[in-house]
Amino acid sequence: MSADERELVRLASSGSGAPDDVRRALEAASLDVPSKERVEEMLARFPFPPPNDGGAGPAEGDPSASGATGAGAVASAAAGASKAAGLKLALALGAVTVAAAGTVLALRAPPEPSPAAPTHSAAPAAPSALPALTATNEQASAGASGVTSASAGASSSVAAPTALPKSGVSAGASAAPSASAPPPRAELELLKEAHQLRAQDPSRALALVSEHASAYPKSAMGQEREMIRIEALLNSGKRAEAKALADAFRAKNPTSAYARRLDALFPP
Amino acid sequence: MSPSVPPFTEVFRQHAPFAWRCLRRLGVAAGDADDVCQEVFLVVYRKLADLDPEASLRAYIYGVCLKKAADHRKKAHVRREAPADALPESDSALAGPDVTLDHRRALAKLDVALMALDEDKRAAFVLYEVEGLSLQEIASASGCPLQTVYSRLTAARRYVESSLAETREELR
Repeated sequence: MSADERELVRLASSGSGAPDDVRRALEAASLDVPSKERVEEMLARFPFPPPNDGGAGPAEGDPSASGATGAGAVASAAAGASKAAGLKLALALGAVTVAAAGTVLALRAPPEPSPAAPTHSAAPAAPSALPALTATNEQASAGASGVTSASAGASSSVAAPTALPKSGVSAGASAAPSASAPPPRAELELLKEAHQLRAQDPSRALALVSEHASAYPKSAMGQEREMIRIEALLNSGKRAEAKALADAFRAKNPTSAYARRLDALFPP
Repeated sequence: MSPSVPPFTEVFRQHAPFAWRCLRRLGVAAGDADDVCQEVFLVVYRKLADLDPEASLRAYIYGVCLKKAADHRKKAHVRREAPADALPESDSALAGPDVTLDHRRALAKLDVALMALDEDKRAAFVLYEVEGLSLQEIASASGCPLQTVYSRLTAARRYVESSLAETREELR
């Protein structure tokens, strides 16, 4: 007799004959789920790349839209539609990985005076990167608004990245190729800048990636970090080194969603 | 874009509450459940586009939960903690008015029993009795044959029932 035929009566069901306390425990267990608000909060903090395709962003990010009706519902509709577009881009590690940082930074970053300052010193990348980032941040805050009280703080600090011309507090640090400021910078900020610079200033991007690797050795964004490193190496003409890393990456993460991207960069 | 791949936000909203619940019963403390849940969905996020739309997304996500919960328990700071914290999360429905003290006590006892089980049996029990997966889905989530799931589940049930019966005796 196969196990298939023996699908068991679940203990929680009324006919199971399980003792009361077992049934009660299972009933209680089934109720132990996070509230809707909490799920939205987790989603808002999730470091996935939001859409970054210029045209779609501002419309969906219109804060008035989410203010009109139940914020959660509208935000989820907008997010659902647009994040889907963002997903593909992200998996190709397009221009996006990092735009999410705005959201996450806003919610998680310690109250540093100017998380945006380093971008300023990275002048060449800033002008093109900014508009998209701004739109994304607005969208993120629209999505989060009305959902959690934390997001009130978020939308104010979300504005920070757009307030670019800021005192050059960390200009020195980011100008030096091997910046090692004593307090590690927020991890997504590091990756964001590294990702932005991987084409224009690959050596700077590599320095940032190394900084990230030593400050956050167990980062959940390790795969993203390695992808940036590989692309930056490629852009500095170090193809052999990039290939070696790519091979190591593929060996370590054989099922990674970045495998296709690597196959495209280094045809087998 | 392929229409068969659901948008990530939709997947998250639909599955995160259950992943979170499952992680809790697999021994992840309430204070860590959000973070571990995020780790689970980072994996899901990376894989989403490559998943077979015909296969059970639910079983896949629970599979990731099993892995992440096991990784989590291996961390030193987690091992030092008490095996189960009976305090309900303030914004989980468990803290709601429909849940009696009896329920919470019973759940605390269940958690103690679950933590005494080995990982595989605990997983079989939680996925079947709490999450309501089919035996086939559990086999797919845990990467083992159906027959193995069946024997793990029955062994886990015997243990849980006797463990709760013992505490009943003690209280008498």
